[in-house]
Amino acid sequence: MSTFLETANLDNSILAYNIVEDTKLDGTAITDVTQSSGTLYSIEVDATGTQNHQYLKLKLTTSEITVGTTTPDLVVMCASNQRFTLTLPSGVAFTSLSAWLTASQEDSATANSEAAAGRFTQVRFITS
Amino acid sequence: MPGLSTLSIPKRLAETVLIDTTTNATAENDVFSGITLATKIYCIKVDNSSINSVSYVKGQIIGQYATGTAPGIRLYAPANQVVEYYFPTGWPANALSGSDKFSFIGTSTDASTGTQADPVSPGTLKVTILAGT
Repeated sequence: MSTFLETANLDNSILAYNIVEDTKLDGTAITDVTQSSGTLYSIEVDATGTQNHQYLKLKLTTSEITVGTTTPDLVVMCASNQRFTLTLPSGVAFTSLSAWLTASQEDSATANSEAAAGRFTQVRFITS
Repeated sequence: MPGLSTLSIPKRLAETVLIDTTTNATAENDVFSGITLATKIYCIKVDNSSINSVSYVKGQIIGQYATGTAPGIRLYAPANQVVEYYFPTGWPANALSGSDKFSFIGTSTDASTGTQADPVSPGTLKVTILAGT
C-alpha cells in the first residue's frame, strides 16, 4: 500500500464514514482502500501545479487490479492545474474501492508523467 | 456576527438542461452545439432504474464520439439504480472552450474502446445533464 495513503475511520456509532486520502496518487493503484465494502459519496481531486491532464480511474467491483489491463468502472478527466469535487448524494456501492491515476484515458495506460516529474495530485474519497 | 463570512456564490448553478430519454450506443454528438451557456457540466444523472444490468455513460470532449478512443469521463450505474454525479465547481474544471465539444454514449460494454453495445434491454437508460458557465 502506498505510503502516501491515509485512512480516517470515523466513529461508527455516530458517523459511519471513512475519509481516504492519497497525497501522491499515480499510476500505481491503491487497492481496497477501505478494506471492506461500502458506498462512495465524494471524490476530491487537487491537481494544482500539474501541467497536463490526467485521468482518475476507479474500480468498484474487485480488488484484483492490474493497471493497464483492468478496465475501470469510473473514469474522470482531471484537468491540468485544477481542483474539483465530484459528489454522489445517494452514493454508489462498491465491494472494493481501488484507484489509480494515469496520463492517458486508455485502459492500457500505466504511466503518469506528471507524478514522474514530481507534480503530484492529491485525491480524497469519502465513503461509508 | 463573529466568525461569519459572506462569500459571493455563482448566481446560477446551471443554465442548460439536457435530457436524453433513450441513451444508447449511438452517440449523441456535440450536444451543446449552439449553446453558449454550457461550458461546464454540473450534474449528470444516470437513470438505470429500468435496466437489470450495469450501464455506463461515456463522454468525450470531441465533436463526434469515437469508439476507438477511451472516454475522458466514464460513469457507472449499477443495475436498477439511479446515480447522480454532481460537480459543484463544474467539469471539466478547465471548462469547455473554443473547439471543445461534448459527446456521449450509453452502453453496457465494459471495455473503453471497440464496439459498444446498447444498454441491456428491456428497459431504457436515461441521462440528464445540467450544464452552465
